[in-house]
Amino acid sequence: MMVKGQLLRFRCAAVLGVLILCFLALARTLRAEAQVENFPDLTLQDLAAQVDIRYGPQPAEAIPYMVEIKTRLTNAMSEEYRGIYRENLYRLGLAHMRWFEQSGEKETLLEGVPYWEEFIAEFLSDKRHPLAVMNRADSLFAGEQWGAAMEGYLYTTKVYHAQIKEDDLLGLLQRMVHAARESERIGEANEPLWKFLQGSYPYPVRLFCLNSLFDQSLEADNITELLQLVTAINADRDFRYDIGVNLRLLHTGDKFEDEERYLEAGLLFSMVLPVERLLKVVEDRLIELEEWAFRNRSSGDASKAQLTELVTLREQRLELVAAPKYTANLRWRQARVLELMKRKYEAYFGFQRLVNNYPQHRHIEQFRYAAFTQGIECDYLSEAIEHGEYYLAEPSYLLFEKPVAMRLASLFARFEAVDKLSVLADDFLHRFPFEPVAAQMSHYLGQALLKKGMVERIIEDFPLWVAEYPDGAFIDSASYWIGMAYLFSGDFESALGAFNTLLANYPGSVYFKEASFRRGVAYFGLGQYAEAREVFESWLSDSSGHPLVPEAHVFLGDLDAMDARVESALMNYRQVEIHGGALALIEHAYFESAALLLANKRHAEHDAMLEEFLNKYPESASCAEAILRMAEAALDQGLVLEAFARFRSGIERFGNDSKSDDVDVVIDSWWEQDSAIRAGAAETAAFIKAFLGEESFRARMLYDRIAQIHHFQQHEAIDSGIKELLTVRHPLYAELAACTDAAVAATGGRSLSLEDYPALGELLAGNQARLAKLPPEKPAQVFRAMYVAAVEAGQETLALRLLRVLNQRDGEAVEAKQFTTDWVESASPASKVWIARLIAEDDADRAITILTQLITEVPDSAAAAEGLFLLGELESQRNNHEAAQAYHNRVLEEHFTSIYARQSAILRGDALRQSERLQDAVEAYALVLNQREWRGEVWAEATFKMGDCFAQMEDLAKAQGFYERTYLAFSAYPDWSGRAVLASADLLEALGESDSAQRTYQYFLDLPTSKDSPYYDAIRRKRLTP
Amino acid sequence: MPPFLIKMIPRLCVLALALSSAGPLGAAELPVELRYPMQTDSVILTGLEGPSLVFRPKGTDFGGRAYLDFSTLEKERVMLNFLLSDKFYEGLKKLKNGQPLQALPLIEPEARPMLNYIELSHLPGNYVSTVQAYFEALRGTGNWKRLTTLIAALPMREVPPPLLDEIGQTTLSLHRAQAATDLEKIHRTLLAMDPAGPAQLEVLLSLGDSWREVGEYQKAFDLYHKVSKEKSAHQVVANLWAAYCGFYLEDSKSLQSILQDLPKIQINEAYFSLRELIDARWKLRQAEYPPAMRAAARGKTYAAVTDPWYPELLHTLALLYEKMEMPDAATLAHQEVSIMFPASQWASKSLEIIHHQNNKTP
Repeated sequence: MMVKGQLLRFRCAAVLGVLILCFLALARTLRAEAQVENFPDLTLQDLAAQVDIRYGPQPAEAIPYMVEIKTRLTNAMSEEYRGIYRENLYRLGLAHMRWFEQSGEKETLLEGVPYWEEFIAEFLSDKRHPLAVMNRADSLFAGEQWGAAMEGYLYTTKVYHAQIKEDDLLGLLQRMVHAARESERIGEANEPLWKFLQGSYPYPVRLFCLNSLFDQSLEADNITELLQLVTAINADRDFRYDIGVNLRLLHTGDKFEDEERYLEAGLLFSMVLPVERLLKVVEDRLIELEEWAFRNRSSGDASKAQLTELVTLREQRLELVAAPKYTANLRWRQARVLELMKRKYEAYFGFQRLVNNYPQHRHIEQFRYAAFTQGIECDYLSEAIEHGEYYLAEPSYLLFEKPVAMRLASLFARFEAVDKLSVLADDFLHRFPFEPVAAQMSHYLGQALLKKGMVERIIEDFPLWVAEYPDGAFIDSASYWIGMAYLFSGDFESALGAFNTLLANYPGSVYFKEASFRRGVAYFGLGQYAEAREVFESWLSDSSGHPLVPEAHVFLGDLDAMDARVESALMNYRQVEIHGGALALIEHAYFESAALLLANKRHAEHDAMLEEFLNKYPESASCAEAILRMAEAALDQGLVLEAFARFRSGIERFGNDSKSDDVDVVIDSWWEQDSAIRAGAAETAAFIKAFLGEESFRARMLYDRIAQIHHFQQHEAIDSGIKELLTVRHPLYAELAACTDAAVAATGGRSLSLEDYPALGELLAGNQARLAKLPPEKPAQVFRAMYVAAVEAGQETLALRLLRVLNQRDGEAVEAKQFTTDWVESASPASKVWIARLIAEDDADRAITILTQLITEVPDSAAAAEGLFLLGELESQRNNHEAAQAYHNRVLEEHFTSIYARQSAILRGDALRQSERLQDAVEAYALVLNQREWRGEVWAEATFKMGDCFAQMEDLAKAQGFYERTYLAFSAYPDWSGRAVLASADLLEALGESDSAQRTYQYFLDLPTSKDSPYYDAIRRKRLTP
Repeated sequence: MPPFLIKMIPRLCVLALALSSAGPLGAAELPVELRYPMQTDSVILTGLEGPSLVFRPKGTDFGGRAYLDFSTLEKERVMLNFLLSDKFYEGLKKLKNGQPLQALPLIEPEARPMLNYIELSHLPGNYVSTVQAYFEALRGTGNWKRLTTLIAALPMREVPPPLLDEIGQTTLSLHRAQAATDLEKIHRTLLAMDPAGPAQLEVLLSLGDSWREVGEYQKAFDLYHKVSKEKSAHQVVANLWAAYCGFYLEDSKSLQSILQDLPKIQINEAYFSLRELIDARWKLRQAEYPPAMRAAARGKTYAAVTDPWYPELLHTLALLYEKMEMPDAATLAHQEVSIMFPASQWASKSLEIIHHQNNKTP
């Protein structure tokens, strides 16, 4: 029940009694006409007097007199009496309301309702009609006639919304909503509530309507209406900046979030303004008004409205200051709901803002963790790493330490940040050695170290952890990676031991299967192929579906191939693809299969195998190699036409794909094969002609072995079949010798006829036949045409490949400036190195940029070796010797088999010398001397330079030793031996051993090769003038 | 010597007092009132000469003139009121009552001559309000030609900010009236103003905002670009909005060059989120979705719901979620725009996309 005082407002009541008396005083003649029912002794005036006495203190007692007045005037027709009747009627309604006020009995109000109804029906034009309408509704309301009251209020708000005083409107709406609820007609109240939500109504009224509608939409789960309200709030400045509304939105958002209705929750959260912002708005306005008030303090012309606003603002300010500081919580909720909605990027920045703006918040640890995990979700990995590292560095953060460490470890592993990972893992394994996740940490580290080839660190560190925590949860993992490290370092025996230990001690380990497999690999490495085969076959029998199955088939295929079990090998290689092996394994399987087929002269199957590969893996970087292999096989069979068709097909099909350098190899092969066939045909023909036509030449080729070798060295293109024919054991040799005089004069002698020597004729014909099958145009013409076509077709990669070969092999002019950034971007790795070489002279910086990008993008390519080498050279030219030695070191570490390795080894030593790291330089040169296959001039150079290093270190004995070794052991290289002689003699002279110096000079001058040395004259002068 | 002028000499720092036989100084003579803090003088304004206002006493012109320096008047806090007739005030009333046709003939005779004294608009007084009323009356009656001619003849650099604002409103009215030629003329006049002071730049910036809000991006761009070229507190924001409008113009190269010159804005500074929106839009156009998403998401995080570009930021995010193949997130973001800002163009676009998606779903 509403409070009585709120309900009973006696509108205009005080004046009504007096009015009736006045009227009756003027109407004395009424008695005769009146319909007397009660109080027969009393005239109308008497009745009115009685009413007047009782109306104020005892309204209930006044009512019978008023009813009698009403009765007597019911049929009065005159204007005058109708007026009295009307006033009495209105007052009757009011009297019942006053009576209720005194008695609290709702029946009294309900008794008054008929009078209000009569008044409303009869006196529409009365200015109190709106009041009567409200009073009737209020009476019904207080009488708990909810439905009727509701009707009354609806009528009021519909008809008299403009007439209702502001003060009354709020109460009326409150009662209307109450009545609507009680009568279960709450929906009907919505229309007026929406109406009074508009900006033209007083704010308290609008706020009440907003809250009522909000309540209803939530109770009825009417999302459509709720969202309409959200829109209304968003469009209304007063609502937006109301702390109550904001808190309400916040709490409602919470409710929705709990119900997993994230869109609604997110909408509401996004609308909530931070309390600081609300405060700022209020304070800004306050400052403005206070300044204004201060400025105008003397004039006193401050308007009432402004002063009221000032007071209101001060109150609001106090309210806001006292309000809960919800902003951080709000931001948290906003971000969390976005995360739940899978709007992960917004969520990430939401969490990051929390981290940045609330570093002292009590939930900062949670904020940081959320930012970390969400950063990973968004692939903002460098930022995620920063959050993770920050988290772990903060000693008070403990809640999420383990998951943060684990995920951070996975990121470090992914980015191959092994140093950071090592520190993290070391710390983690010491803190949580017995936690199951420790095994995962060990796994990340082992895997990362192995990937980076840092197997020594595994071998050094992991056993220490194992020794420290023999019962740790990570022991099986550590053992596995120790085994793997041994395996990759080539210590197969130790690897086998590690795997065997693991299998024996941890039969339930997740590494059991892998370790079992790796035993086979270890046996393979040890050359114990039978054991390896046994392990792989046994392992395969119960490892269906295991990811290592394809690799097992690769090993079995290789074992079969070694045992010449061709069909079994082919079957095993086929299984690699069937079991979903990685592309590298599949490539291995295809190419090894092809090699087996070729070795067995199964050319059609060989070609079919590689064609299948091309069709299935057209994106593979090995496609060009497949083409190359098919072309070479065709050439081996003498199918020149087919070989060149293969070359062309490869260039056209894969030439514009910049990933692989194999197309460059194909292009170069084309050129080389073409040249070789042409030169072979020409030189073979020329040889046979001279051989048969000139007896003296023939005699040299038959009887002077050294002259023969020398001739063939100078004419490498001559068909190797000629050499075979000219061996002493060959029957042709005897035939020819019979017709050749060893002592014949330099010119003249007998000529022989080709027809008499069919073996030579066949050889000549074979070369001519190959020549005839070549493409009619020479490579330069073919590639120039292909270049033009590629440029027209916009095939930039291919065009650059062709331009490279034309420039390098045919002297095609190119200008460095023609290589725009876009062009370079589209170049193949080999083309990029070529471009870098071209532009290095004019723009070393750009060349370095191109090469640096290349070695980052394709570090394993053949071009990367040349790129690193060239970078080393360029850095040396810029006197960046540290950088230069690092690049050359990479050539040695990553591309040891490349043609640049030996030169890089020397240049690395040179760079180290330039950096005055002399001991390192000595070691660098020593590396050269340790490579037996590099024996030759490079050894001489390395030895001499080691001498120089020791000389610089003033270790003169050692320096002398290396100089002597140079000129004694490498006299075949007069450049280096000459230098060594000079350096050695200088040292001797400095020690006053001039005789020894002179003997050294003489030693050199006596060498048969000394005159070839650029130092010959200098040494000779020194020898002559001691 | 007339008594008025005698009184003026010691009080008003008259620069020169001369008995001149020369006629009027080129402009109409207008009765004015000089209101000092402690005294008011009624005189006839006869013209302007260099830094001085030239007055004569009321009544018959005997050729005597008093020269008052602008700076002196400003220093003395003199209020300059033009003495207007009752007819003018009657016209003003009619204008307020929505009767511009009736108001114009009453206002124009008194206000129009004042345009010759635009320099005086900087002094406190009734100049600005009078001319404003005149412009309003001309606008109300659709007298575009006269209005355009009047405005084009004004020395723009002298026009005070309130009148400049009035001129800006006139261009918007011309746009509504589809008077393209006149509009273009005034627009060009505004752009040609050189140099513009800080307060004038603020008005131009605000006018740029108005053009942007009605979707006239070229005009908005012109104004923003002009403001962005002058050193002022508005330079950064003008630059940003110029870039923003640039997206609606055809000239992609110019846009790129503007974007390159855009200043960096720190996270907690104003307009950070607008800057991010611009970045996001550019990258979206270049199909660089992840960096576009980074900019949009960061921009939205630091934007207020009340920022005018907030709906667009949300819509852009929704588009980016789509492009990055996150359809659920995209739909939720589109819904958010359409619910929170149902009247915005971005809501319409988002709703269209949602519709399209729903129709695609079997």
